Amino acid sequence: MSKKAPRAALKHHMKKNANIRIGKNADLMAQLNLLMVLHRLAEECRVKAFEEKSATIKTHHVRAVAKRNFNTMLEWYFVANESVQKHIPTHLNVPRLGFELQQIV
Amino acid sequence: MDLTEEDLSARVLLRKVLHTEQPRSPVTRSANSVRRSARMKNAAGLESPGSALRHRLKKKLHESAAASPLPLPKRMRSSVVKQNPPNMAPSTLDDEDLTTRGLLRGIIHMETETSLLMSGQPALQESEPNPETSVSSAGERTEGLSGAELSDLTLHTEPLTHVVRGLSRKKQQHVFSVSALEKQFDQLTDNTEDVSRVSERGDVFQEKPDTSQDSDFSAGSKSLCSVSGLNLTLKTPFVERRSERAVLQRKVSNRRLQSVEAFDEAVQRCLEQGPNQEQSVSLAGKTLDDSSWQKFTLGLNDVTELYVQMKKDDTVEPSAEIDNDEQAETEKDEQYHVSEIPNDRDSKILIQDEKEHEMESLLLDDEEVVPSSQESPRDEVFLNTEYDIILAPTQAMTESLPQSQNAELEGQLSGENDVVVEEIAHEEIVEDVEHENVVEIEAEEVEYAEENSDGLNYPERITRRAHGSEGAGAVLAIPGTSTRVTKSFGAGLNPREKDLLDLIDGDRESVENILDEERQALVSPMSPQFHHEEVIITSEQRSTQNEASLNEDDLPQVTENEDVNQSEEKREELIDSEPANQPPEPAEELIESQSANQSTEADEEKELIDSEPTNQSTKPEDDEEEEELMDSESTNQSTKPDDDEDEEELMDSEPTNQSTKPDDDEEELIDSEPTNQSTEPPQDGEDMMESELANQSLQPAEDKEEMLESEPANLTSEAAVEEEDIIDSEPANQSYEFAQEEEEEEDVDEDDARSAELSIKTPAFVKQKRVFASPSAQTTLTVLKEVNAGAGPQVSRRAPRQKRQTGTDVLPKSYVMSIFKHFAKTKVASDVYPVINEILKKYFDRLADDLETYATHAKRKTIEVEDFELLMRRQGFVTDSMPVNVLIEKYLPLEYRKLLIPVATSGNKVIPTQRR
Repeated sequence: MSKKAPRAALKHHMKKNANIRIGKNADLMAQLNLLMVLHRLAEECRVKAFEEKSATIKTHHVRAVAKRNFNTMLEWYFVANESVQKHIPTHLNVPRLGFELQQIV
Repeated sequence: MDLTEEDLSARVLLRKVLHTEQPRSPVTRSANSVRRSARMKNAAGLESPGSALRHRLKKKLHESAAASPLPLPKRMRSSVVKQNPPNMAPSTLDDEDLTTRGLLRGIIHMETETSLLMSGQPALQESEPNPETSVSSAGERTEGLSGAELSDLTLHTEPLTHVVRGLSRKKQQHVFSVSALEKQFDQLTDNTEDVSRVSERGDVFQEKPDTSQDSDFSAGSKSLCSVSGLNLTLKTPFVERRSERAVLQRKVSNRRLQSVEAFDEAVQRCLEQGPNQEQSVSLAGKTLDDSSWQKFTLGLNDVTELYVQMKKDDTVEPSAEIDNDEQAETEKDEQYHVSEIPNDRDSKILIQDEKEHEMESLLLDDEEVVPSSQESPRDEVFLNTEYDIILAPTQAMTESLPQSQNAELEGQLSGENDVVVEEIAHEEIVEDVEHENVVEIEAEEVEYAEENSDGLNYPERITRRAHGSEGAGAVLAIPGTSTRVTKSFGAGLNPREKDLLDLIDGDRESVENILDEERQALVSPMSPQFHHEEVIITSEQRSTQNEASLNEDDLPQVTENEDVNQSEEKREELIDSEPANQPPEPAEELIESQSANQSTEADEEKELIDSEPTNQSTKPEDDEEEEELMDSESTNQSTKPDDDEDEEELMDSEPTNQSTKPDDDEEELIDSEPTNQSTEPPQDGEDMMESELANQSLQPAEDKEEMLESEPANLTSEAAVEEEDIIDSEPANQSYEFAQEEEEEEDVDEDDARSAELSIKTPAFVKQKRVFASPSAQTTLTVLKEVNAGAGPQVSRRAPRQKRQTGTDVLPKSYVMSIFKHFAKTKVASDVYPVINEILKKYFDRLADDLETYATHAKRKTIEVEDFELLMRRQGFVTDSMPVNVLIEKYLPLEYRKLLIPVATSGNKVIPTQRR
């Protein structure tokens, strides 16, 4: 079931740091990103729980996953899909954050 | 046919077969290798790949040929006719062999050969070495034989199959058992053609072989062929690879299957275990619920009984003293006593009550229960306290529990005790009865105070006292919240509780809890039945309650620390808010804030309950104001039908929130308390309101509420006007106002401080509170006395405050957990929420930073959709094969999709309108 995305909360989170503004529907994208991240997190947690032959996801599962991957949380697929970087046109000169993360990982 | 004969012939046949097999093998190189082998003989040192292959094939043949190479040759010869051509082809043509067709042919041939070979293992074995040697030695021969042998082999295959069947299918089966399976898989996966072809050839072979064996043979031969084919495949590099791949693939699939199966098993086991485990937790809760409900509904008697028992067990003395008072009082006292008394029993009872509360608050979720169960006993205590307050009998139970919890809290909040004691001294309004309670509470508080000499504790205590004896707003707030919590937990919250809840916003669970405890003591005596008596007693009790609440606050504070993140957040918020308020009203605010922070849901409830009774019972000098505020809050809550409804709703949500989010409770407490918790997101406000409503609605002691309502009605009305959205704010305001008015000395300062704090969060809210506080305070004073249930509304108020504190940073728990569960597709423990919260917090921080960087890089000052797109690309969610829109479609609901993806509609319109 689709849930109402708490747009206000998301907006609040995004604006926490600076006076940066949020585009019109950008918080929807934030919602999307959040969903994807949670999805990925849930998948990993599920796998981890499977490893322990547990049908329920427990806190230690989540913690282990987060510890292992949190550094790459935002860059979740980074290590796995490093090739993605290639897709980003170099002229954008976007800082490639993956390197540090990779190191962490 | 004699084996010997066959053997003899088999040897020869084997040799031939081997020779033929090699060249036949799917690897065309076999033929080449055969030829090369000849060359190799010449050049021993050199080992051409073909020869190597040949060697491998030979080995494989030997292995697979364990069956029956013997018959092969003969039969193969017979069947060579048809097979010759096909056999010839692979042998002669390397290219063909290399092709799948060739490989298949080779396989088939090999299969037949191998099948035959398999049947006659001994013979085969004999023949194997022979062929090896012969093969190695006579590469030429193999070559020469290749064609003929192929035919021979084919011919032989039939006989072999026959032989195989006749001799020992079992052997064959054994032989093929492993390899066969693999082969089957391989064949199935890789070589469907092979199988089909094999089958075909098997048929062909079958035709030749005995009719009797046809049927069997066909199947056997097919299988054999297939198997042999597999064997052959193993022999041949190509085949091997295939088989390997197949095997690998198969393995993977197998693994998957196994994993799934295993998982299912594991799941079942877990379920089996889980329920047992869960039972321990949930059952407790469940039982609690049932028990609680029963208690509420039926258990009046039971509760009383239990309560009586508890009384007897725990504290006869204090109870005895209280006994003098009305039964309610006694109950309260007992409860207090119980709580005060060693926590053992109380803890148990409390736990039970808590569970009950939890159960009641099952509204929330299992998660709540789990975390609640997991949460410190404070929750339980609070819950218990609430329950106690809710129903006289139940109160007895719950109170006893909370009392025990209080005792626990006391132990935790020694510091509070000190403060409480102090407050008590100040507050002592009616200490005849209260004295006993006070003493007890004081003791408790002293303990707490000792432990927690934090200023926070003091304010909390003060607040509590206010409810009890002093009617401290903070206390009221706390009890209010707790009462609200209690309401949430127990429908049977007495009107007193409601009042308490109303009065006490769920600023802090802990506070609430403490207050609840106090309130309970107060409330118990204040039970509607014994309003009159209770009033007097309540005043006393309030003092005691205040103390207790203070203690509770202390405890919650302590417990907060113990609690997990949930409470932390609350505490932080509460503490933050509290410190601000504390200066004027150290104890009260602190208590409330602390309680709010610390107390888990249960705490809130308790506090609420406590606060309520405290509010109702006594109107301490300063506390009275608070109490009034609390009461007014509670009453306001009750008075306002809308509010009531809302509050009720809030209450419901509060319990859920409370159980799930101790923060909420804190919020509620805070609300009740003129803290700045109002800043909490609407959720909190809602919670508060709910708690308030719940408190109000739940508490049957509407009389009290009415009384309070009438007076604070004005206040609440104002509050309502001002804060339509947040009813809690009203009660909070009321409490705030009360605090302000009643406790000009302290309250004002506190209120200001709190209001300042609150103002930081919700200025309007604060203002409202102040406004309400002033008018309500005056009225509430009288009302408080009349309405015992003032604690209820107070309690409810507290809850939202607590919630707010914690809710500021994270997303709503229900939302997050629902998403997580949906994605996880398996059961998810509810206690993972804090962990996820932390993760999300960090995630958001990073997210904001990254997005800001992107926008800045694009020389923009706003974060746009493309920034997100870039982010997702970096994260790997968006690839060339997975564009953003697809993801949008995938995850977002329709209304959002429309906003993000332009859709063309008729009339040359695009939605959303595109600006070019």
